[in-house]
Amino acid sequence: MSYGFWGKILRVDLSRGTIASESPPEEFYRTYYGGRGLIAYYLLTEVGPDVDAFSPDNKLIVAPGVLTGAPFAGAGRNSYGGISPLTGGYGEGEGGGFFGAELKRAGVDAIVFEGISPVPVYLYVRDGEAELRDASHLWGKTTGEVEDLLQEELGDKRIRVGQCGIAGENLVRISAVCNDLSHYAGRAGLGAVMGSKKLKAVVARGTMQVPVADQDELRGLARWMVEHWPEGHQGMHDNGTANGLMSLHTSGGLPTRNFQQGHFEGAEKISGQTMTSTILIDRDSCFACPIRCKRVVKTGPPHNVNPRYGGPEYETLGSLGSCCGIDDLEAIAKGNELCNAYGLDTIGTGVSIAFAMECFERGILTTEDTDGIDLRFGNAAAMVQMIEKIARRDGFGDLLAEGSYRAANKIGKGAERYAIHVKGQEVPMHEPRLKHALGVGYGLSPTGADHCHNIHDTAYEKGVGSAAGWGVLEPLPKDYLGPEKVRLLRYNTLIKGAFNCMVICQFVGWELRQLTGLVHAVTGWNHSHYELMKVGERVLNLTRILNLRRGFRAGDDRLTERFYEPFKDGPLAGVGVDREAWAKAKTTYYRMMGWTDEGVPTPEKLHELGIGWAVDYLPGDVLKETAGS
Amino acid sequence: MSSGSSKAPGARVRIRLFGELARFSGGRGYEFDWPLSEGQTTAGLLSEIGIPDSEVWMVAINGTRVETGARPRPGDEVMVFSPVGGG
Repeated sequence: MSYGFWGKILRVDLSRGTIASESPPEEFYRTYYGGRGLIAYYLLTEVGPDVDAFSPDNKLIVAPGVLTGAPFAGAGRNSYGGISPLTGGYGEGEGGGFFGAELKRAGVDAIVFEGISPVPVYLYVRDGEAELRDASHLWGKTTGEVEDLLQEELGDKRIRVGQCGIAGENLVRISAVCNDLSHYAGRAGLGAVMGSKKLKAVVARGTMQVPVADQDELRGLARWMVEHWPEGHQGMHDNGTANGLMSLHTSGGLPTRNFQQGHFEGAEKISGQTMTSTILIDRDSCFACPIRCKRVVKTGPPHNVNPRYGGPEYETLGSLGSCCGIDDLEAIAKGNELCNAYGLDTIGTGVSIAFAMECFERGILTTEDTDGIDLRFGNAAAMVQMIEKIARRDGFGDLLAEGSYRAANKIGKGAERYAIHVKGQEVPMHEPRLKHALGVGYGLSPTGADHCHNIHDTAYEKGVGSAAGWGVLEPLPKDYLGPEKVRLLRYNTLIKGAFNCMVICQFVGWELRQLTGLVHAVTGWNHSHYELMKVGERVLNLTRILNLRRGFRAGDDRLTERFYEPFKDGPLAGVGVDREAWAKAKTTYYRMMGWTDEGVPTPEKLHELGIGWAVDYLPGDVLKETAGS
Repeated sequence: MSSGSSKAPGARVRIRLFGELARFSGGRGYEFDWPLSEGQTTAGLLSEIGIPDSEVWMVAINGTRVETGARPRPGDEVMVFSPVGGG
């Protein structure tokens, strides 16, 4: 008997309306672990290098991991993957809540969607059975309306729903996939891939217990977290992920006015602490998690924020707030509600609006371009209005719905300079001029700028924490980019890659030895931390090859110019990213990964990782390059 | 570090703890007033309160980052931050 997975992967052909089931061997699960690993495998082996994100030949893969659904904190997540409409390369986002665990408990390890349905549909998965059902009546509805209608139609309040939202239907490239209304796989624009397939939702209902190899070991670990979480996460519980907003502002790393500044005079008004003392009415949780870091907020007029859509995370307070120069917490909460109701990534949306605001203030855009909207930094009403327009591709919103990179290219007139992105994906709310190796990680990330599979330098400046388990014993300055820091960056990308294969939460704070215990308890595998790091390394190589096949080269691993410009004021006045040190760090990372100086995995490295088959997917020109290295 | 300092009568600072530091406040929560000895440094204040230096990433007085040897004045707001990771 296998533990941690069912041996059942659904393959849904939306063009034909058929559902098939595959049963990979245990070795497959142990190699890729689910989530990102599984998505990278399918996208690399089944989606050709010229397939567009909105082509029927693109795939949308919904993947929990081998730990998902087992009863412990952090095990409620799942990944969504496909070719990204933002980057044209590897796309993936992870979302929390309960949907991932419910899908796993419904007897499914993953679902591979292919083709395009002739009419809107949703997939209903219940205890091992799956059927495609008409979703015409759900098309054009908000995420909340869809959930209500599905609960009514299926006569079950306990269903869990993953859905694409109106933004996804409209192929908005900065759209998200929504789990349970208030949890989002925001990045990479996968809501639009889902919408392009006319797949409105995946509905899960599961009463099956994920098979666990050692219940006693798992219970012991789960109980430990229930008893000990306040020691390291009370602040997160009290104030949510925005617990650190004031810290970033004070240190000069809070993206402000489209990354022109790193400190915001209105920071106190939008901090996690202020949210707690003003509009917070409850705290929400994900599956089996005692920390409850999710916010539930409510306001009166004029915004009347609806609490069923949760409340803003740090990323949202930054992107819709300081990055747009907005200090109106209730307006930001409204923006969050609208993004959630329409299925928009709050980071991509906020940074795209901030881009347009800078263009407006510089005279590149005028009210003639913006449908009469006075799109200045600080105009909260304009921000809220733009979210509506982006989701519906209405007027000027149609341009920003393309994301800031494409919008800038269409606008021209030098607007490209103000689109803050990496590989076409908007930069999240962490400053490379504060966290310097994180900036290298932005450039190297297979999904474009991302903070979740990255290092946060500030966490290693005073102490090394769990990095001691990797043999890293000396703290390092946040602005240091030497090989010791690159080593730490590399280890972070490996472990976070593994997190995204298991698809468990990074915020819960499991120690390295506990992670090994969790994998052993759930799967029964004689497992080691070394193996876990190899899982992360494997997936970094697969996603690298996928992007190489799609035309990305080392020159695409770069930061937008803004980050090389020193801040003019604030705590980091005069600080910019050191171009030379950054480039050197990138090459050092390649070499530490066993890649060539052009960032190409060598055949030997792929064999070392047990994925020698992937050599066949290296494009001819780069394969030749590895032979010469 | 604060030994030998005399306390100016009624002199106090406002302490604000961020991140995961409230657990070292002795049950005072995230914000509280604290008596200020004459010439006391921020490091001395944190020692008096019982916040381990290893847990402190950054200190600010009235919103501006300072070194741990900085000396707050009565009525100042002393902000103390633990290391920040992702968000």
